[in-house]
Amino acid sequence: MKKIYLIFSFAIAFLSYSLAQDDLSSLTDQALANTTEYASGTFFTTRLLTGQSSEIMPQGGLDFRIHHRFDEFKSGFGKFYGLDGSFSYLSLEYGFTKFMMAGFGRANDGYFNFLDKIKLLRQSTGEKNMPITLVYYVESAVDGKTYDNSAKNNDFTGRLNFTHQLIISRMFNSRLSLLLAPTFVHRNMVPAPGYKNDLYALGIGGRYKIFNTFSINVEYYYVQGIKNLPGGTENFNPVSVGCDIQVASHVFQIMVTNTERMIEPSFLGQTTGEFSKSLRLGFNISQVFTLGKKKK
Amino acid sequence: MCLKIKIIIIGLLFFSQFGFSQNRYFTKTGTIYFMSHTDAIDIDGTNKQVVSFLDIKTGEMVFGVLVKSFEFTLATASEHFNETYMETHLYPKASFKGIIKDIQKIDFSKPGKYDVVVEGSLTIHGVTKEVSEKGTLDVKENEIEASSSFQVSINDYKITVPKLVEARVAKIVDVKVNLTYKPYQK
Repeated sequence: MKKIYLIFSFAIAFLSYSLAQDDLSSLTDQALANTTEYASGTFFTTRLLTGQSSEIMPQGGLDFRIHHRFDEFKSGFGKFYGLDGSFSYLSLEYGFTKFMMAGFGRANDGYFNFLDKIKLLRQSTGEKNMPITLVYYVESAVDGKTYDNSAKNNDFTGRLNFTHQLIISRMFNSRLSLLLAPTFVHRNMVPAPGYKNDLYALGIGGRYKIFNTFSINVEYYYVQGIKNLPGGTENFNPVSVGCDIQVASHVFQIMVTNTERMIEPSFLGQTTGEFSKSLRLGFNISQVFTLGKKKK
Repeated sequence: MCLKIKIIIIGLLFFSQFGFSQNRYFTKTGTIYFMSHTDAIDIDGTNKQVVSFLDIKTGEMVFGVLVKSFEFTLATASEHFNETYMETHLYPKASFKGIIKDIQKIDFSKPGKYDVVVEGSLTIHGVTKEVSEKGTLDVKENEIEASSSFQVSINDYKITVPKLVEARVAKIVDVKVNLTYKPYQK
């Protein structure tokens, strides 16, 4: 009986000793494993190429964007393979909170656009586990053109176009990120009867990072309801292939694409060139300024 | 009688482990702040999820931090910091393991401020260096506040800066650490 007590007390003494000897380093590692790590830098900038990516401006960041598309390569030497032509989009976008950015811009195909991007879910591992990032993008675009039919010039409602988009992305590793973007576009007025007011589209795209500051990007939008248009014409699905180059607070995106349009209602609904026949060169420049700097 | 004593001894031995763990203090909300000051630009980052353990009997001190959870004032800094400089996909953690010298001289039952010297190994960007830095322990009722400020040379930790932005990143970075330890319970 005595022996049992002895063994038992030694066992407990040993137990308490070993508990107290838990290595502080491994305790630290355990505690770190219980913190949440959020994916960052899923894409270099807020656009994948032509369309949106799942990134938003960080709080206090002001993004000045210049998007530019040239004419088609096939326009030949007379127009220097398209480089003489130009389509542009300028915008200012600001990160109001950690989860919301908003901005406005002007595309030279006649649209003013007002956009808002809200981060609903953040990809994370650790204590909170979330496999995807989910962003809601909403845009209203006002057609600012002067129409040939002057009766339509005063119809403001007819000039409005709305885009709703969910952007689902996942950063698989530090190099590969993919996104899916189900999109709905409503146009209050269409070019001619027979065009659809509502467009449903699905964007698929991704980037593969080759260096820390360089990635290859691909983007494709499938748009439903742009074939068999009146007059025997049809529109095409926008495709863009390009790269991101990051230098300090700039991101350059250089691409080859079949659309000269740069905002959702127009590149989804008015892309007239087929990818195999009417490629053009384009680039985006993003310059981020930090505003609203907190004082320490 | 004999049985009672044995029970008491066993009981004492059993509870002794709680006594042991009272030596340990812990936090998972410590902050590390750093500032890279150059003529061109000031870049600062804060991490509020620093995990640290302190054993007031042995003086043992351990820090761990996920490099990715630094937050920056400058909008574009986070991406450069994680991808170009710290390469967080390769080296997700930074850590420190060391000892507070002469911890026996501090009376932890008496509130007050004590200057201390911490020695140990600091691991950043996969490179481990022996360091010795000054700090302060502010002993309070049921908590210990620890703080220190020191400098880190980025070359020591093989953090390379691209030529193009060399003027924008400081060679020597100022670091401030602030922690509030609470008694550690399992």
